[in-house]
Amino acid sequence: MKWRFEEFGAIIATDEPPALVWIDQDMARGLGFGDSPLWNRQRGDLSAPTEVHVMTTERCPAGCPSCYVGSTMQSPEPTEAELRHTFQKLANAGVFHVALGGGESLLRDDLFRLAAWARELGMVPNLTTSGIGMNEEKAEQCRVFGQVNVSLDGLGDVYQASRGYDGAGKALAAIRMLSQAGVSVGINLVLQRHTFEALDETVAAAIEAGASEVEMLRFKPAGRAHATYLAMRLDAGQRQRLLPEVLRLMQQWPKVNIKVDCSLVPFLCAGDPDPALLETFGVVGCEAGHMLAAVRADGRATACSFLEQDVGGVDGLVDGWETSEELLRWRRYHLTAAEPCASCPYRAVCKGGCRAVVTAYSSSPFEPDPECPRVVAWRRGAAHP
Amino acid sequence: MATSEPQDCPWQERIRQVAASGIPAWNGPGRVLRVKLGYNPNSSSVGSVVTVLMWTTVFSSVVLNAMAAVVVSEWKRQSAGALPSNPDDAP
Repeated sequence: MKWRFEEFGAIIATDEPPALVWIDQDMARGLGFGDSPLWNRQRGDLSAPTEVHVMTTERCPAGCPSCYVGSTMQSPEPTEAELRHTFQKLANAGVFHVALGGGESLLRDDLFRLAAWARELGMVPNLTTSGIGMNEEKAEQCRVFGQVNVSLDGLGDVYQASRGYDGAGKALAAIRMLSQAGVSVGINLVLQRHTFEALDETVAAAIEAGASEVEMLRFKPAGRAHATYLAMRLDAGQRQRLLPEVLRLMQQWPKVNIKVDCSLVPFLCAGDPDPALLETFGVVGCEAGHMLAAVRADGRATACSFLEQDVGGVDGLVDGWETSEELLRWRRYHLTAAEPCASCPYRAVCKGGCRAVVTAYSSSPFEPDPECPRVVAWRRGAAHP
Repeated sequence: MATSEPQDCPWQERIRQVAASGIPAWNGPGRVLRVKLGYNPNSSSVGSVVTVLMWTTVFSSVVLNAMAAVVVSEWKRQSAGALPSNPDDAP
């Protein structure tokens, strides 16, 4: 069991069920953890990210027009030694989970060796893949991961419209192989205007193939997706419908885990869920440079996978965690956010929406998320009081 | 929000298994503040389990208590009996 001290007490990682558990100082002391100098601090920040996204390669043959990285087969790829250094630094900092992705990570011959190394260091490696390159042998080896998610935005024409080729068959085959190998497998489903309307058939096919989790992701204007973002993003009505759709899917598929990503939290909050419940059970909005950080294939380290500003590679990320102006800007944006975020009851959960999306509309990422239904309503009211 | 618990959601089932497994509850000082459920295999953003949207306040307390028991159980197993039987004796 991995754990680390924090200002409030400690965070503990459990495996069954998989979770990160925040406990207070009294409980940490009661368990026999001892005291920590961190308990005398009141910065309000975590001592390190809880999870880091590590791009094991930027290479990928798919060429999706919506790729947030802009991957090609000529894109950069770190060496095994560089990735081992990254993992060592992150483990030393107390990071619990690493989410490996790309590019297509299955292109690497050393992927499973690296994942095993992450395990040896006490971190749980997880994987995102398109399914390209998956076979039964690799599916067996994927048991080293805590969970594998396969990208599946739709079926047939829907997949084609999203990714520029019909890869749904490969993705579903990968899900089947992983499920049959006993790997915990889910899907990553990017919500775009057309994929949102095909949720039922996509989710049904994924579950039939063996997926036990559906994670919905907001489409973001990064990489090649800059060019297609405005045409493919969710429309205003769809953003309002997210929470009802999520609740409906949970009722329809009660044994499947439904998740949303951090950038969708503003849409979720439009349905007025209990903010205290969201906070207690880790439903989080923008955690860039706080719970989350990313290490890119070219060695840059960023506050989140969609941001470009390097904080000095993995060494700068870990060694400068408390002092980096760049990290602090992302981490603490919500504390000084403008209206309507400043007085929003969800500010502590949502943290001002997705900074990556804001960049599609503004030269500064430090503004309220313009697609948030509450922001839209507030601006409409301000314009027409 | 929803006021009824789902009949068979994956987390509810797992938490009930924990509660029924005989793991003793945490009776020491302090409490669980927060629980973030699941792994996050998505390598581009942070995912959150939203099953919680269907939980009642009562069931939320059950989950927090069950996770405290899980923590104690795993900590006991790891420290091979190093856990003080009386939390007041903790160092």
